[in-house]
Amino acid sequence: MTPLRLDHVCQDRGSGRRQGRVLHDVSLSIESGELVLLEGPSGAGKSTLLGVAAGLLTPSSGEVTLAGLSLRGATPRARRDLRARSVGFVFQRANLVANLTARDNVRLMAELAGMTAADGAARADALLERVGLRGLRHRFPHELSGGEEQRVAVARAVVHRPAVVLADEPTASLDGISGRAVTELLIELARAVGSAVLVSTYDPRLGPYADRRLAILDGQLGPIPLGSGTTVTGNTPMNPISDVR
Amino acid sequence: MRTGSNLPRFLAVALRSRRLRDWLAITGVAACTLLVLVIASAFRSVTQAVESYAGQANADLWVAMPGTDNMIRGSFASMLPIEYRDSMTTIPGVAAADPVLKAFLTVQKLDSDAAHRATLLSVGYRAPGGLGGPPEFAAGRAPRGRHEIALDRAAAFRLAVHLGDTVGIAGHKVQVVGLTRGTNILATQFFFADIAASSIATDTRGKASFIVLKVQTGLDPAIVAAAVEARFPDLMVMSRRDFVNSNRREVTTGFVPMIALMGGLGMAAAAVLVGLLVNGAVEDRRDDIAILFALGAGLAPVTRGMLRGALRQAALGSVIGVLLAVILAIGLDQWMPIIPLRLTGLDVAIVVGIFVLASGVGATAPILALQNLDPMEAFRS
Repeated sequence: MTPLRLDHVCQDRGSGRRQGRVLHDVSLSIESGELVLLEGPSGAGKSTLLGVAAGLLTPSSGEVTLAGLSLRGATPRARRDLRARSVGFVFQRANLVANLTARDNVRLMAELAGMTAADGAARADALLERVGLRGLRHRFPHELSGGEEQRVAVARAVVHRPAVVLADEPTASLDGISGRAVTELLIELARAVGSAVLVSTYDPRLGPYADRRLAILDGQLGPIPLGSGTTVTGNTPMNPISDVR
Repeated sequence: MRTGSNLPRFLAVALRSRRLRDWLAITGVAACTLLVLVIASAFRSVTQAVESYAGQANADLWVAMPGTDNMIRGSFASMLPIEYRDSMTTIPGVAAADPVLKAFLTVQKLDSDAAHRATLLSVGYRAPGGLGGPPEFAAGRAPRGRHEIALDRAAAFRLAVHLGDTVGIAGHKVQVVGLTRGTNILATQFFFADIAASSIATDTRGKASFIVLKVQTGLDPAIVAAAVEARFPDLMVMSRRDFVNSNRREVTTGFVPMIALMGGLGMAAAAVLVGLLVNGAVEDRRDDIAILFALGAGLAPVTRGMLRGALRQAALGSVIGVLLAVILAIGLDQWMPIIPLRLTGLDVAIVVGIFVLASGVGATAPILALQNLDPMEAFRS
C-alpha cells in the first residue's frame, strides 16, 4: 500500500474572474519510510499541496489516495477520521495548543487518533523522552523555546504511528542547530514507525536528508537531482512531469 | 467522539479562554446577575412589607369609606366616625373591632438638623395590642400611651435614632420604644402610635381611616363581611386578601414596568456581553481551533467545548452574582436597612436560569461561525 498518492491533481482558487489555478496536474506518490522534500518559493503552492494531501482541501480534479483510501467522494467526517488516524503534522511554527502541556498536546493527538488514554499517555511519555523533553513535559508551550516546541510537535506528529507525516517548513523558524536536531528527530521517528514523510521547505540544509527532492513553482511539480545544491526560486525553470517516481 | 476518556477534557482545556478574558466574562455575568437580583429583591421586599402589614393574621376584614382601599394612597380626609367601631362589635361573628388612623407625619430627631427629619406613614391604632398594629418587632415593644411610638428600623436608621431616644412629631415629644420590621416600603416607612396620640397630631379626633375586624374563629369572613355591609351600606368592606391586593397594587404601580425594563435590559446586556466574550474567545482560540480541526477534531466536540465554556462562564458568573447579592442583602440589612433586599429561591432560580439560557443563546452565533473556520489556517498561523 502506498501511503500517499496524488494523481493528476488540480486545485483552483477563487471563482469567476478571480479564479486561479494553484496546482497544475500534480501527480506524486510516496512510499513508507521515504522522505520527500518539496522545495519552492513562497506562494508556489507548497502548503496547498500539503492541504490537498491531508484531505483538508478537496482538489478541483484528480484523485488523492491516503493510507490506501481514496478521498474522492469521502464525507467530511470520513476525511477527518482518516486524517486523525493516518496523518501527522509538523507546522512551520510548532502550533501546539496553547492551553495544553507538552505531554497533553501529544496525548491529545493520540486520543484523536483513537488510541486509549493509557496507550496514548505511555507513548507520549516515551516519545517525549526520546526527543529529550521528559523533564519539560508538564510545561506549557509558552514556557518552551522554539526548538523545544518543535520537538514536541514532532512527537505529536508520530505518536499515533501515522501512514503519512506532512511537515510544512518545519525548520523555518529555528536556528541551524535546532533545525538540524528537529529534522533528524523527525526522520528518525517517522522511519521508526514507517511513515511516508513529505516536507515542504526552502531550507537547502535539508537536502542531504531527502530520498527525493521535488521542486514546485507556480503549482507545477518537477524533480531536483539528489546532491544538487540548487535552491528553487521564482526564476528557476520548471519541466512539469506527471509522475516523479 | 472516539475512544479515549481524556479527549473531552483536553478539548475543554484547549478551548478555555485566557484567564483574564475568562474572569472578565465571569465578572460581567456576575455584575449583571447582581443588578437584576437587587432590582427584583428590592421589589420583593416592598411587596413583602405590604403583605406583612396588610396581611397580618388577626385582621380579617378592613372597613373604610368608599375609595380608600389601601394604606399608601387615597384621600386622607375620607374617614369614618370612630363610633362605628362600637356598632360593629355588636355584629354577629365579629370577635374584635379596632380603628386605624393613617396619615403622613414628619418625625424629627430632637436637637438635630433637617438631615434627621423624615415624613413617615403614621399608623394610629389601639396600642399596645389592638388590631392593625406592628406586624413584627426587630427590637423593643409596642407603644403604650400617648408619648411612645414604635418606629420602622429603617426609619430609625434614617433619623439616626435608637431605642429610648426622643423624637418630635407635630410639636409633641415622644419616645421610641420599639423598632419594627416588615414596615419599609422603600419610598417611606411606617411608625406606630396610639390612635389617641395620632388623632391629636393630625387634628382628626373621633375619626379613623379603617375599622379593622377580627372574625370569630371558625366563621367565614365573607358571611361577616356581608353582615357589616348590610348594616353599613355606605361603607366598603374588604377581605384581608382584597386589602393585601389593593396595597400590593399601589406599591407595584410604576415599579413593575421599571423592574421589567431594567431586568430585561440587564438580561440583554448579559447576553450581549457573554456573546461578545465568547466571540472574543473564539477569535482568541482561532489558531488553536484551526489546529484542532487540522489534526482531526470534529466540529461537534469543538462546538460542545465552546458552548460548555460559555455556559460555565454564565453559571459561575451567576452563582457569584447570587452570592454577592446575598452578601449585599445581609450587609444592607445589618448596616443600611433603608434599602431592604429580600432574595427568594424562586427569583434566584429564574434569574440564574434565564442568564444561563441567555448566555447560551448569546454564544450561539460565534460558535455557529466555527463551521466556517478553515483548518488550512493552521498552515498560515
